Amino acid sequence: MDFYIFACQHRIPQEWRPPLTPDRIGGNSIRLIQLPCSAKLGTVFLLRPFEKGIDGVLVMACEEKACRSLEGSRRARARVREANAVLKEIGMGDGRILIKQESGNQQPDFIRALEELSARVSESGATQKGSITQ
Amino acid sequence: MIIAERKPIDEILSMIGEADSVLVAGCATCVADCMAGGEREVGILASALRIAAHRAGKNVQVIEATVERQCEREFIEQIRELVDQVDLVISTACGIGVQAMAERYRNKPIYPGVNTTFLGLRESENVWAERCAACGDCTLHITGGICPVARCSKSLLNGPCGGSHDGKCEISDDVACGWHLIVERLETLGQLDRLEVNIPPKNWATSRDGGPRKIVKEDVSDEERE
Repeated sequence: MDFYIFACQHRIPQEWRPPLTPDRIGGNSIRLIQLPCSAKLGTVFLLRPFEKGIDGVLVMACEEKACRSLEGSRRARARVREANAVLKEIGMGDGRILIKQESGNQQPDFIRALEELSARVSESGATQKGSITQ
Repeated sequence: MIIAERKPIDEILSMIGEADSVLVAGCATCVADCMAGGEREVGILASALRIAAHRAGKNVQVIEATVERQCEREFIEQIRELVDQVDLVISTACGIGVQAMAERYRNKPIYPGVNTTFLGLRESENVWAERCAACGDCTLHITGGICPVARCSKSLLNGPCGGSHDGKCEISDDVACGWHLIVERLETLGQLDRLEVNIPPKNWATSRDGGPRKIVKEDVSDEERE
């Protein structure tokens, strides 16, 4: 499957930081995007990858109480909820965008989260491939 | 401000029909503040339309633009080039903005992307509530700054009615009794005596009952421009 991962810089494993960002994790095609904080993530940024025909988006944010920008992780959660609602409205199921608000920056956290997202996406059905961005 | 809500995406898709190109045009004033049709919402709607059209096997070009105020021709003129490029425009401005666009671009279909709902304000982070009915005959000076027309479910001018209980309206426990609020406010202001004044029947001709309304201010007209 094809996934985008938006991750707070504090959650990206040291060995995956740019320019060492992997393009495959656990058999999935990945685009890992480092954010200064998950608060940077507007709702539209969560939707635009789906215009390229990807299957799902994973947001790796910090624990809400540990967010260094105070409200960043909380705002990211609200935007994930909004973007999921839009996807549901257009018939793509509820849950193609998964947010994990945890501490730590270990690879297994990403792998576990991707497995969970893959399972959710499989329930929702495959995405039509091919970029449609105009 | 004017409060609106985005229309369901299915309804917007049905307006788009077989069009090949669409401009989603936002307004950065009232509808941006109520999170229905500003630049942020235009981006979300445009993205949703692209994804939905693609899923339906259609190839629709969706472009985006947001102007400062769609109710003023100086601002909507700025997007003429984009309007000319597309088959139709989905305007996420209020009904005024949609009509201003339609008057400006007479040969282009301009369709509403939002339902214009009421005049109100934000009560909390995600709640907007009605405050003004634009009735054209304001009585706020008599009613403690709380509008009986917009906030009483029956628009009573001398309330409350028998349906008021514990500060709530009989239509729903989620709706405050407008007249309860008025009494509370007048009490705070030390103006309870105002309740002894009977407000006479309203001249609804100043409201919608008088047909489409218009204001002409002769004193600010510029004869040289006419």
